[in-house]
Amino acid sequence: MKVRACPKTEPIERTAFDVFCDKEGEGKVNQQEQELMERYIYQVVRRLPKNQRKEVARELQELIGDMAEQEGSTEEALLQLGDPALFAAKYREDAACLIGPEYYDTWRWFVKVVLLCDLIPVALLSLAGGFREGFAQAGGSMLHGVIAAFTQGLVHAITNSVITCMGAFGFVTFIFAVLERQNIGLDHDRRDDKKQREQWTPRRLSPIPNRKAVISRGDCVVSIVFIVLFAILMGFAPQLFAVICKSGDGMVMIPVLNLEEWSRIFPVLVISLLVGLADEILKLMAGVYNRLVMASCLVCNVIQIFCSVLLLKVLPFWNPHFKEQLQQTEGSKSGILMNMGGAFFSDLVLVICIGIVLIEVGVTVYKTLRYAS
Amino acid sequence: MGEEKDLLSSLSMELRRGTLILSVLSQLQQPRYGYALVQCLAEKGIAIDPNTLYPLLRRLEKQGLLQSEWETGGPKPRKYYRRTKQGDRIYEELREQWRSLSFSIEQLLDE
Repeated sequence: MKVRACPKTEPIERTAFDVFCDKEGEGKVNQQEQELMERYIYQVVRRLPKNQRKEVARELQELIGDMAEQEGSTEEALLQLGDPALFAAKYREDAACLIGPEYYDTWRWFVKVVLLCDLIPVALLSLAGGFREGFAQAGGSMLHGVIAAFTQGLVHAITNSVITCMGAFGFVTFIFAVLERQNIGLDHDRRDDKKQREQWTPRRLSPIPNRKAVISRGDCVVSIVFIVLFAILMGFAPQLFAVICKSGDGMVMIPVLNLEEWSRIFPVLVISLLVGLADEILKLMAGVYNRLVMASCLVCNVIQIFCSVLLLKVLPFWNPHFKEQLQQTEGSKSGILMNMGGAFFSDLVLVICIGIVLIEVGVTVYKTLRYAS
Repeated sequence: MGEEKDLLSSLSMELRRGTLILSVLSQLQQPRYGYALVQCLAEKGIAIDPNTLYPLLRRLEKQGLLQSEWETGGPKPRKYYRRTKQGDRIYEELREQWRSLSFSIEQLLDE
């Protein structure tokens, strides 16, 4: 590194170096160098907590500008600064830890997604199970029954949620700790292989994606959680999809779905959900709309439409005795309720499904063709 | 042989790590911006990579030893760091500790 004389004057007053930089720097940094600098800064700050990004970006702009003047080019300056992933790791106060900074982001996302996928269905199913048990066990007044059911449901939900979440957290952390120690790369953008790190050059920086082409991770996580929740409910408690009616002294649950044929129906449903899950995971990993995401979206949605038609038009999806069972109960029966499970109802659900698919495909194709580089 | 070189490099880095904080604090009685500090230290024989110094400056600021201020008067905005009062006290203390440590190590190495 070339060495410049240490400024002897009070640096708040502008030094000779500053004046030199300004004169030489004006107009010299061409657009390509500016782009390279912005890419580098983006690669550093995207790995930092949001509240630090702006300040660090400003600092780096100052630093790279100074170094580029000193070293002759931005590329040379960036080569000296090295891999932005390592630079970012230093900002994050690299410490001896179970999950290092290189895996931390991915681990954190996995933990969030896995915990949500675990917590919501387990809590709901435990709450429903505990509620039913508590209600059945409680004798005496209605109020007493409700309190007992509520307490039991809550106790079950909290206990099971805590136990399964701890298990899920431990499992994910264990997998990542192994990955960390085995130095297995996850991010295709920056493999953790030592040789590749040494070969890093600023030319390897990928362009900053258009903001409108970025896929929201939050949306993907919500979709994944919803798919897993739906799959678990359909697998373990399809009877919960029911209409509750008053019959005699008590309440009766009339299932909407065809539980007798569920072993035939469920596999098709699982295929449809797995395809949707795979699509969401791909989107989460890609992070931006591109041709691969668009192709995956098209293929997955065609499969999902096919599964929907199979479920709603070919297989006996709805409870065939629903109408009769409903008629045996008391209370008013609205038209929508009486038609539930009929051909019109199937068509309506199918139209809604196809509508949702078309919107998703439309958005993906539009954003890919319009904004993806 | 390569392993020995790697080991030596890692040990040497560890040896230097603790001294960098003292070196940085020593130069920040008056305000300086990051790259000027890199060059100032290099001239005095203490080489420090900017990608080590910048995160270190932020950490020291977070710990209350340094304070920073953006100077936007000139055509190029610059962030100047200087020691806080707490930074002054800690620096004085560390300097004493370093002198004592250095004396002891010298004795050890001369044995």
